[in-house]
Parts: sequence; structure tokens; C-alpha cells
Amino acid sequence: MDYDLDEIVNLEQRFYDAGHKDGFAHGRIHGLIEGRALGREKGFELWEEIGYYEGTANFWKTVKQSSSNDRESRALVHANQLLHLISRFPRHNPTPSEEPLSDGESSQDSALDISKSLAQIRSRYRAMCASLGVKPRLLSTDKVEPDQSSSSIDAPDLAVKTTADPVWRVDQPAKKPPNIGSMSF
Amino acid sequence: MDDVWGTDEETNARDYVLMQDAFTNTGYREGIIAGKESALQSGFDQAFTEVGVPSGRRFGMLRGLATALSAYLEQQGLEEPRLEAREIVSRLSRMHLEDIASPDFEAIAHAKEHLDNASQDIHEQIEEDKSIRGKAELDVVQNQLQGLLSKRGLPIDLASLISS
Repeated sequence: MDYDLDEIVNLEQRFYDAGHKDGFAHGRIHGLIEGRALGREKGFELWEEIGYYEGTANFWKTVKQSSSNDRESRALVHANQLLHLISRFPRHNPTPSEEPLSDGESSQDSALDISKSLAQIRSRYRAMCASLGVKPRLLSTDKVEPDQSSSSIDAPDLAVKTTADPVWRVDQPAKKPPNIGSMSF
Repeated sequence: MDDVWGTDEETNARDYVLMQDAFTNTGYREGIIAGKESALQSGFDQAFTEVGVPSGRRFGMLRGLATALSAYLEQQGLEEPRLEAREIVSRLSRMHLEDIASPDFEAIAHAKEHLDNASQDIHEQIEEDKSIRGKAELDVVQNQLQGLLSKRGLPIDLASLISS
């Protein structure tokens, strides 16, 4: 029998491509599932903390609304500032992903420095608690922040991106080896 | 050669199938990795926005409000309502994400495709029930907190705060 070498190589490529196409579709399902598992976790963790401050600020704002006491009106100012900062905190992951979500504002929002704005929110929260005379919440995630955050509380340049990467990226290369083994195809 | 497996033609056919399998499988394996990497980030972003943030925010708001209410009632020296607020705080502190947000039903459905056996189904059924119970519990706690706020004459509407 005569073999045409080109024909064989072509066949091999066709089989590979057919397999790759099916595998890719299956892989996407697993990628979405794993990505979702990580994303819901991270979004929950972050906004549980922000929501806690938001709830606290709303409560004291309501209670101290009509106060004439000097110290308490300072608490009210803190509460309002805190709510303002929170209202500007993103509710989605501003990743410049390959397939951006349809809202089309991700590139603009990715300029927002999340870690800086989180530091501002935390220190504003602590300032509010101090003026109220209540103990602030202790966070297990409370890392030592660079203390410059408190001096820049009123800086209006919240949208200016500085050095730190504010975006949560799913760390693909680092995750690859363990995940391949753990996926059940 | 007159080998035991049959004629040359049969051997050729078998080799062809082996070759097809080998290349198809290699393509499949590499396709899975590529497909997975192409989708991880968008899955992350989707669940971050649609599941993680809203359920975390609601949960955190209730915890923050309940804790602040408890501190306020203590300042006011109102011991009995304070205990009720403390109970809400501790009820909330025992809850977790999987009690609050719906499970990833698509993931469950896909896992079912992989492992099509009854014991797995039963396990998932339990998880579903647990999560639905958890969400109902969060509603109960929210209502309890709302009742306590209203009783103290504090004009805070939890439902509208959460949906804002």
C-alpha cells in the first residue's frame, strides 16, 4: 500500500484538532466552575467586611442624626464619609480580562486602587468607632497597613491608580499543576 | 507474515484506530487545559459580582448593624433588648457563605455528568437542602433584627438598605 506522507500528517493534525476542540469545550466548563468557586469566595470575603462597615455606619448615622453634642456630631461626619467611600468601592472585580463583562466599564474601574481605598475605609471606620467610644471590629484579615493611609484620608484622587495591582487575577500558572491532577474529567 | 491477530489489512485498520485515538486524546488533553485557562477569569469575575459580593454585603450589613445595635443598647443601659441583639449577633457569626448563597447548580449538574451514581445524588440533595435552609435562616434573622430596630423606634429599613 502506498502512503502519502502529507496525507498522514494532515490526518494526525485533523484528529488532534478534533480532540482539541472537544477538550477545549470541556475545559471551559471546568474553568468556569473553578473560577466561580474562587470568585464567589473572594467577593463574599471582601464585601462581608465592607458591608459590616456599611451596616455599622448606617446604624450610627441614624442614631446620631439629631445630636448636638460635639463629639457625636464628629461621629456623624465620620459615618457619612465612610458611607461615601463605600459607595465608590467597586462591587465587581475590575479585571481587564480577555473576555470583559458586558458592562464595558471594566477598564475605567480597573484604575481604581482597591487596596488604597480599602485602607481608607478601614481607617475611617476606626475613626468613627473611636469618636463613638465603641470597640472596632477585629478582623482576622486585618493586616498591617502602611500608616500613610490615615494621612491621605481626604485625598480626592481615589481613582488614580498607584503602584499596587488592584485586581484579583486568577493565578493560572501557579494553580496549574495541582489542578490538573484534581480535575475529574 | 501469518500472525495470530490476522491479516495485514486488519493490522492496518487497527494501527489506524490507534493512531486516531492517540492524536485525538492528545488534542483533547491539551484542549482541556487551554479551555480551562480561557474560562477561569471570566468565571471568577461572574461569581464575584453575582454571588460573592451581594451575599457578602447583605451578611456583613446585618452583622454590622446587629453589633452596633447591641453596643448602642448597652450604652443606653437597656439590658433585655441588648441580649436579644447579642443573640442575633451570635446567630450570624455561626453562618458561612455556603449557608447564604445558592450552590453552583451548573457545577453540580456537571459533576453529575461525570459521576452518575446514586450516592452522589443523595449527597448533593443534602447540600441543596442545607443551603436553602441557610438562606431561610438569614431571612429569619433579618426579620428579627428589623423587629428589634422598629421596636426601639430606629427608622432603618433593612430590606431597602440591602437592595441599595
